[in-house]
Amino acid sequence: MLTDFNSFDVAPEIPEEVPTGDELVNEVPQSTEVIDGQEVVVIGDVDGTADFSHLQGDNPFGYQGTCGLCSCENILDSFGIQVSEADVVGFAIENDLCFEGDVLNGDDPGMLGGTTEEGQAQILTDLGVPAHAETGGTLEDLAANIENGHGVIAEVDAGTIWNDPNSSGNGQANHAIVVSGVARDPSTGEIEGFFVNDSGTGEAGKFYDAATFEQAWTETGGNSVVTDVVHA
Amino acid sequence: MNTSTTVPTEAATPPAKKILSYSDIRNVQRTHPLQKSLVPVEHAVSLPIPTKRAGHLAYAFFAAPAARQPGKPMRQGAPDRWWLLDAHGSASVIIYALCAVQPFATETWGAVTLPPVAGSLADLKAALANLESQMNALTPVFFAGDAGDASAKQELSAALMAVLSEPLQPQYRALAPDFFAWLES
Repeated sequence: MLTDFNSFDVAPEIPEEVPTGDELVNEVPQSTEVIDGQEVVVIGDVDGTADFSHLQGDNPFGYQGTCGLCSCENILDSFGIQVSEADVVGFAIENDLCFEGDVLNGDDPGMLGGTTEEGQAQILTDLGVPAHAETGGTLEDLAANIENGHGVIAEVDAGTIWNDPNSSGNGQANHAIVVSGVARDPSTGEIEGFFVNDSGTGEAGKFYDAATFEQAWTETGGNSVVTDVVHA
Repeated sequence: MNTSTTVPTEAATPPAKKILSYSDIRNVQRTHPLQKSLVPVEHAVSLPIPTKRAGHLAYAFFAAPAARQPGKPMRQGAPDRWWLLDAHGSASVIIYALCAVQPFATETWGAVTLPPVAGSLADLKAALANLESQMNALTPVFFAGDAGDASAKQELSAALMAVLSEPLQPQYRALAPDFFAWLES
């Protein structure tokens, strides 16, 4: 567990076991599952990354708008860098990488802790998993990143994935989630959907069909943060 | 090497600059570098509103911290930043300012809980599509400085108010007062 944030004054070394190329495509877990009565091939470590997912707001600073920070935590943990939400929020506050406020002086906790895409990439990079922001992606781009073993944070419209107009963002992304797997039709290779860890609901490994993801992610800009390194 | 140049005695009139439509600016906005680097994803970003408030044809935006939970009304703080994107070319940034440094209005606002959205998600998206269609038609008229058709402006005003949550309407009016004055004239 990380408690001394000063230890991040110099970016930690990437553990040697974290591969830095796309040569390990075959190492990405694959399984066959049945979803809504249809057999699909699932690519990605859906169960493994789900272990690191939880409801956002579990930090001593009172910040509850931490979907981007929890997504960073999920990615870091999945790459073997053990951090808590408190560690990541503390690091973001210390380095001015999240939206800040003072809960004790009446600021709404739910509005604190937000991050930009560039900030999410910076946090991942600084804490040991180099990453970059991508934009204008397609579902095939997203699937390729998962299938090649990269960690992926997708910026989506919360209203669409929660089917709740109150949380919709004027056609823009307003929520960060981790995409942990892709489901393809075993016959045609067509993308059937994606598996998601969502700290906004606390749900892990939840499946969304391709049409929903098209609306929630592609149509809001196809913005994502993608690790430069791949899972071992 | 001959470096002499011929000085033209006549020059063709430059073509008129293409103005980004409302659909164009909404598409650009979703991937604009300003938002990716400066605006937290979790912030609520306003719809673009055409304006000439800075002496340029531009689209204005504000953003505010927001709190969302599934099945609950959204809470939105006071706008904490605003910006203008050029209505031409690649929508370059004309102004970006934190409200604490350079507010876009003299009014101040507090946090509000937005009233529940009436209708489904599909209804909301249809209302946004309707607004976009009408904005595409009338924004060029506003930019051109023409009065525009009164009934078309009334329809656009109704479409806009159908999408803008009532507590946020004063913020939109303060963001682009020239547009609302034209719309309601």
